[in-house]
Amino acid sequence: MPPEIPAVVVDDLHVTYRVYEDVRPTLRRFVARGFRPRPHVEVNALRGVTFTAMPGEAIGVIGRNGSGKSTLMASLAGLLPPERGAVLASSQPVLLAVGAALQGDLSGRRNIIIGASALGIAKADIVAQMDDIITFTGLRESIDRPLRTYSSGMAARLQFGIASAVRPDVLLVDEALATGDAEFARRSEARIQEIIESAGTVFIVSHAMDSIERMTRRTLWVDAGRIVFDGPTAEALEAYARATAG
Amino acid sequence: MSSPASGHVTAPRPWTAAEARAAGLREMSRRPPLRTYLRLLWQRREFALLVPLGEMRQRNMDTLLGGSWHVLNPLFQAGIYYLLFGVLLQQRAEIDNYPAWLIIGLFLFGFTQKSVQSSARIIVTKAGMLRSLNFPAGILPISVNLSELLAFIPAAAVMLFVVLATGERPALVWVLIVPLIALQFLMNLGLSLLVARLTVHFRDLDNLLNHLLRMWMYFSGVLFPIDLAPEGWIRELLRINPPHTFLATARGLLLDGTLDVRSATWAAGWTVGALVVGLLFFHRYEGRYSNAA
Repeated sequence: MPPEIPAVVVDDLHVTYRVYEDVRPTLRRFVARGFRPRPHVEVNALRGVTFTAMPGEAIGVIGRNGSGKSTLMASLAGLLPPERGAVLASSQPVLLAVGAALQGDLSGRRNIIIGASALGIAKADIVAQMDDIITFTGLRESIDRPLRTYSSGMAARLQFGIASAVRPDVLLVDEALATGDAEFARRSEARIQEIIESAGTVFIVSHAMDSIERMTRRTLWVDAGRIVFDGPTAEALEAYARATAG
Repeated sequence: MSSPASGHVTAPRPWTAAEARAAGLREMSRRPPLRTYLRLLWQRREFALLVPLGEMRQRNMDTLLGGSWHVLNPLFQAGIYYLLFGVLLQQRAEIDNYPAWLIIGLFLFGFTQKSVQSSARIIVTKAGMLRSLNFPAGILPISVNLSELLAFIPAAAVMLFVVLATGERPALVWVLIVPLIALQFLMNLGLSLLVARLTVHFRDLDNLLNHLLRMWMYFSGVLFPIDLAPEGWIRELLRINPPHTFLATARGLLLDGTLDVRSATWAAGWTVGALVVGLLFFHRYEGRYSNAA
């Protein structure tokens, strides 16, 4: 058997944000600084992350707020430029997040078309899948109402429904399972399971330890921009629980 | 705090970037070469159109007169300038059919002005979108320009109506107004790509642009003919400045029924120049726009 080709390779990844201080820029300060640009601090969101993910793997990502989980997801999707190191993938990873493209005053149905098109699906394909998507979201009654009238749970269901219309080889799920009721969470998990079974790779960021435990066998624990644990989910959750309890 | 996951079945041996590259994996967040970039932009054309269509729908829903403001605004503006320049400063005596002459100038210049102005902050305001969705950043200014083009179509119809209502005879050369608008759209896009990136580096440009564009209007023969400028190189410079080349071509077509070849050639040249410079400049920073917070 030939050696298996990884789905994602992350090698010594460093990502830095440039953050400007909350000081009003004024001409006087600009002159006083000697015409140099505004001062900024560099936040090292990721500092030396290395791991490899194989096809068919479901990988949990845990860590405290601000530890770098979401930055890691955005970097895997190629949305943030690395300061150093590299992210390589066998096919374009897709971040399950279409919220930024949606428009509040438009109906759920129209937003399905916009959101799916933001993920790169052709409009003809979306229209063909429209009925399945609406059924999946369970929002048939309210699908023609403006999105801004939806509750946060309903909006999350719409977003997950849109994103599930793409079948990427590498799927990145960032806290999308946190909202919505138990029934919808179960359906979303089933959808993710389908992707894993068709040899896709899935990353799941969550604070809900039970869904990490159910869906993944391997977990990355991220802390202060570094991976402090990479191994079996059960061990990761145990170590994480010990660290956060104390 | 934790134990390394040494040799465990669930964590494979990490590959190096070099090994992954050799195995055919693709690097994420790499700036694609220009040809690939253009292909990517073309692939996402549907998305580029859906966003402005949606926003337009959204805007038109909360005002009584909805989309007709796209036409009413420049008409009101034209009324004010007509009083000021036409009646008070007597331009209507100097220029044949001054109302039509003025409307053509205002509407065409407004097309460029609005396209460029709305593109200035687009990267900054949509940085959140760039941080969660995978699409080339160039889609954003393209989308703005498509939106302005859609808004310009009814304005162009009103412009033709005014020209006819003021007694001009339709001529066959009028059809050339369509490729002229297409050219202007592309020139706007080139300028928009330029300012969209510049504003990422210098946020103040957005405010400055407002004044620069207004100044440009006064220097482009929108309200009064550039012949009022002293003869010589200054007037020649004003004549070949980009907006004026479009205005002169359109007025030649609609008011004189002739194609002003010299102006049209300049207009085409400016279009190619703006588009090439804008695209190259914008593309050089691609992949880093998401960091513009």
